[in-house]
Amino acid sequence: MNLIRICSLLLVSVLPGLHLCGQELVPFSSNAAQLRTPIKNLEQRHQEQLSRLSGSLKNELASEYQKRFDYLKEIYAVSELVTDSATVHYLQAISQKIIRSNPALQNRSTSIHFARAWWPNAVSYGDGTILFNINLFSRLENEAQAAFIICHELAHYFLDHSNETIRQYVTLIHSDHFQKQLKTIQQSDYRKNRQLDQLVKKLNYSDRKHSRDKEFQADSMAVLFMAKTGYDMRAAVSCLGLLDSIDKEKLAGSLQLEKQFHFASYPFRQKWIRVPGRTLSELKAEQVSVVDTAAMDSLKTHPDCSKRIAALENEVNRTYQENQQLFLVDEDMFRALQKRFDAEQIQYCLDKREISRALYYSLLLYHHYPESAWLAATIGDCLNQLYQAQLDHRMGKLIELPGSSTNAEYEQLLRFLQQVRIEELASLSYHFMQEHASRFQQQEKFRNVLQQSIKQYQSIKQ
Amino acid sequence: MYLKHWLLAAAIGAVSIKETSAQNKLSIENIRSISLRNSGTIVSGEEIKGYFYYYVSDKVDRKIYEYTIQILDENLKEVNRIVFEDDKRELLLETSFNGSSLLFLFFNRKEEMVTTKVYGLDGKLKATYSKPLDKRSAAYFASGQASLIGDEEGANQYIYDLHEKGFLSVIPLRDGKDYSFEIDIVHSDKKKAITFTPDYADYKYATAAFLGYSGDIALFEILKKQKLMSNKLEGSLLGVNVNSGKKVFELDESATKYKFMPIGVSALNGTDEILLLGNYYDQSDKVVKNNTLGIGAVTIDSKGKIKSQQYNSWATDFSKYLDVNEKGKLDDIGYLYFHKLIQTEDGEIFAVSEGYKRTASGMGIAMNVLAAASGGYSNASVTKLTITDLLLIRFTNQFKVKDVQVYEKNKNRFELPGADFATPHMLAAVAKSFGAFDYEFTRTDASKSNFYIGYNDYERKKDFKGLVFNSISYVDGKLSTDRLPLKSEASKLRVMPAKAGSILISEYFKKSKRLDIRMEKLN
Repeated sequence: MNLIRICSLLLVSVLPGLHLCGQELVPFSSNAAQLRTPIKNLEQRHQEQLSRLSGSLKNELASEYQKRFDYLKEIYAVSELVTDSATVHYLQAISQKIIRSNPALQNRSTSIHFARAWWPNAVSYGDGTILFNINLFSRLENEAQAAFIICHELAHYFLDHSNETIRQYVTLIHSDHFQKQLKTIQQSDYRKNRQLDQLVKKLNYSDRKHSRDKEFQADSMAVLFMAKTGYDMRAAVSCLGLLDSIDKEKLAGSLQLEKQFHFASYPFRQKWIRVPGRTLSELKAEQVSVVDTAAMDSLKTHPDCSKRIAALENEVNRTYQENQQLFLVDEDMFRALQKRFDAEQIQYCLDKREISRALYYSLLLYHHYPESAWLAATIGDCLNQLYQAQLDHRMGKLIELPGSSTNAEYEQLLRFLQQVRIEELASLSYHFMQEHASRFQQQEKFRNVLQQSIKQYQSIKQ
Repeated sequence: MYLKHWLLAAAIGAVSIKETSAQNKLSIENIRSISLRNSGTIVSGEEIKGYFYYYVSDKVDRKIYEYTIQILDENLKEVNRIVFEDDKRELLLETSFNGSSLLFLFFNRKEEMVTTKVYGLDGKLKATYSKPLDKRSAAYFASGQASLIGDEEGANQYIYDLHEKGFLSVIPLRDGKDYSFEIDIVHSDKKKAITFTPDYADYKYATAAFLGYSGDIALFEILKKQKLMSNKLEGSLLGVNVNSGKKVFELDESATKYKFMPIGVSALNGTDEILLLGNYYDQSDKVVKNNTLGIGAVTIDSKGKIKSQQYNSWATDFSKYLDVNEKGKLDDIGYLYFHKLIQTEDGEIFAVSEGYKRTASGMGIAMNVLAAASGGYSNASVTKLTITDLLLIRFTNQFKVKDVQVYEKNKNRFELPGADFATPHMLAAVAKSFGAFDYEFTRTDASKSNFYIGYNDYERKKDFKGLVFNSISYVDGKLSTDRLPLKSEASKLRVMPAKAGSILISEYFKKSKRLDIRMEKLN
């Protein structure tokens, strides 16, 4: 694992209004040209960072920077970023509003992108690269909350937190004291691993504590940056207030397998979602109720949101002005992107061959957008991909197993995928596609998926 | 085999510090050393509840190691890690789960000790029972000869769960030239184990195979001989009360109309009676020498009283479905070795069997010809055991033959020195203990309405040559088959039993020292 620090994790719980029914949902097309300049800039920033290195550990630091650079180059190369021009420009507009309002940020080279990942997160890598996951963006209530997140990540960059962590790490592991400790452990005949564990535990506790301190610092600096932008300062608090619902899906309560996979000529079968006997993990959860909360807290990388809010509230109240706005760039674009991102994260899961997750998000979204031909085709496509993989006994590579999530709805889908048999997968795909064929047959993707479904269905009927 | 395992390495210590960039600097990962001793399934009755990985996680001193047992559930989610210190030669043999606790059976050859440890799912030790063995018993135990259950993947040989009642273990023993066993019953709610020791004073050799339990009675198939070198093997059915550890009954072979050798037991649906299924012979026949007459079903009550017995003979009942002579030999297939009997929820019974016959050994004949030509002598056998097709025999709930399905596969050969002097049935018994049959396992779901049978076949086709894993699924009353060629880029690929309807595929990549495990559903 690279030494890359995740500097922020923020999310909101309130659903943005799903008032865009009727419009077609489709993911973005890939635009590789959009990445040419950012890749060049990434290389340039990397060289600049290297040129600033000095001291006895210069080579060791350079090696860590190189790992970070290689990791980011890979991110750029494997379609992890949103490359749609309008979207890129929109994010740039918000970012530039912050940077232009803060002279301290103007002489720094930054590169802020939407990442296509399905989990809610934002990261500052320390070289000016900031990735804002679309899943996090799609959960926000307003542009001001997005601005606070960008301010927070810029603050990490401005305060050089990531590079400081690298420096601390490199300095520590190359220190005489640390090397001596490792040498003593290496030369021990016995208890080597226990000694290593104790050493790692001590370092982790210290490292995580510093990490939590840095979050407070970044929040505090973010408020200062944001205060100059004209965005509504109260969004900083509301944004942090939503953190506790991180595990709750944006469209929770929308999975209705019994309805979505029930057809007049092929009724839904309850055995597909039967809850099997309890697993060892479930039995253990019943037996073990006491959790060492003190130990868990000390291993957290982020402080509790309530503590972060308490630390910010005074400054937010002090800097809040009535003329501040929730939207300064484009509210319509904000709403449109939130909808588009829901489709985009499905496409991301498909690209990454995470089919159980792609199917899950598609079914959730389809409940809200039943007129989307793209979603219907995607659901059929997921079922077809699972059918084909199951034929070759590769389905285990495309789906997660039950017990891997705390989300009850996703768990139900995972159980469903475990219990539905191959010929039933083919039948479900066929009947699902046939049910919607009269409405969506004009759409090319839908037609292609339908043809595949028919082919599969015919093969199981032979 | 010692194998680095990334799962553990990745998780222990949540290491945030990784390799240093400079070659001459030390790093945590370069110092840490963890080795896998063995891994296996955690069974509960007929179900696979999870998997265990048994590691040496540290060296405590010259004699003591620290061990970690990593426990995964049936969906490969980590349940717990049990860490403890013990002698460096401590081997973990088997694990069983009874619905609330895990039982681990350890064996230490050097210390001549069998130890069972009961852990809660929270990883806390609940009880430990140690059984010292004398030198000969330890050697006998270590040899694995005492197990009659054989080579079925995912099935235990020594320890078995009794659900909420606890566990039992069957420990083979040797005292001088006497071979015997003891049965230890560990109650979940008590801090001690009860031991049942058979009284077979007139017998030099006795082994027990656990068949199952119903109500308070655990049933064992006993095989015993009065003289060690005798080929007169006597069988009996032993019933032991799991609460008291006392013998309730022991039915000898003459208790039934025919000499009856049970291979499966289940509670008779809807009654408190016990159904036993197995091969039967003439009363005067020798089990490993003579041919079976067919398959029998015997029901007994909890006191061992025979309530009913019914027999399906090759000569009459099976001949309607198969070309079989009165000796039980089928054309092309040979004799049948019964691996498993399954009773489904609706009372129907399925018997999984594999054909075998004695054939000429080309290699053995050639060796003998060459040896004779040079004036010498070869001890290579001129005959061998050929393992043929897999058969699934279906019976009604009244135990009448309903159907026979033959699943053709390529012939598999088993050669053994001295095979010329053994009956094909003796050879089949030896082949079973050597794991030479292609049958791998049977898994039944909790409701007993569906089951899955796994077996291997070595295919030699134009487009594919190699080992193929095959399965027969019985789901919703229908039989279907599936085929999985075991070809991969991995250095080693292994198929293990999993929860009903799935298999666990384990791929080891030698170059990157990586072990990938994934669950796949059967079609």
